[in-house]
Amino acid sequence: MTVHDMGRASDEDAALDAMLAAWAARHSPSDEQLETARRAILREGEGTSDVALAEAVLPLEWWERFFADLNSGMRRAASLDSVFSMLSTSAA
Amino acid sequence: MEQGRGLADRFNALYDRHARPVHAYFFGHTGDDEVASDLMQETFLRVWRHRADLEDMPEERQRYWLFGIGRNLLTDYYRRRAVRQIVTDCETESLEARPDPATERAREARDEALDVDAAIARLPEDLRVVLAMSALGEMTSGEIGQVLGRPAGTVRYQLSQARHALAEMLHLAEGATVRGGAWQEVGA
Repeated sequence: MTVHDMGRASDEDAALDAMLAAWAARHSPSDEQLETARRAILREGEGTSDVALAEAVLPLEWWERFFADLNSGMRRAASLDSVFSMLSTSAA
Repeated sequence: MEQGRGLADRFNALYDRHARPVHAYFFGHTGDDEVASDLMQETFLRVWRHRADLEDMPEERQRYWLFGIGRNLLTDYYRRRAVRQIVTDCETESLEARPDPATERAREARDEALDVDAAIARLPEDLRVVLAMSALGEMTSGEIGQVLGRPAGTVRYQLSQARHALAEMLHLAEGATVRGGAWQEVGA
């Protein structure tokens, strides 16, 4: 490589570096865009955890219905038990 | 609570350090700013959902883990795009006119214009990715190599090849001898 060639190659490198820097500036997200994206990620991420939490914790109405059903079920079982015991006594 | 705060800080530090490199990785592959931003966001959303895994994870491992998530998302993206492409091809096949050779030549000539975006878009994908990760993501060849699973020397060679090809496409190298090891890393 001659001195002339080296000079030309170095000019070419500088020109290419400048073009690549401009290209990177055109396509690289700005700080503001990255911040907006971060907020969107956290919002969406937190939103998902809230939904997961809501799904995991059953609402109060569900528990009230559950205990009411359980209570009436136990009462029914107790009264049936007394009917059965009465029937068995009279049969004997 | 304290642990949650610590993990959030860890997530934010990871985001600050790697958001640009991850974006550059996706941009290098897809050549589309919007797609790259969406995929970058999706990657960090997954990281956020699995932020507990970040605890006690060494920094080097974090980068590998993060880009592993990115790689999976990219595979999904290509798969979805391929399906969409098949559907689009089927829909437009009957309507599309046969390309006129003269128009094709004109289009090719236009593609050969001195446009950096077009030239970079025409680079082979593996060269475009390392170029994007270096120029946009400001990553060293060692870091790129670690993420892509290539030796740093191979990455340096590919960067040099990418520059060589670009110089030729942009007619910068006309009559000049392009030096093999011309690439200089940022901050090196």
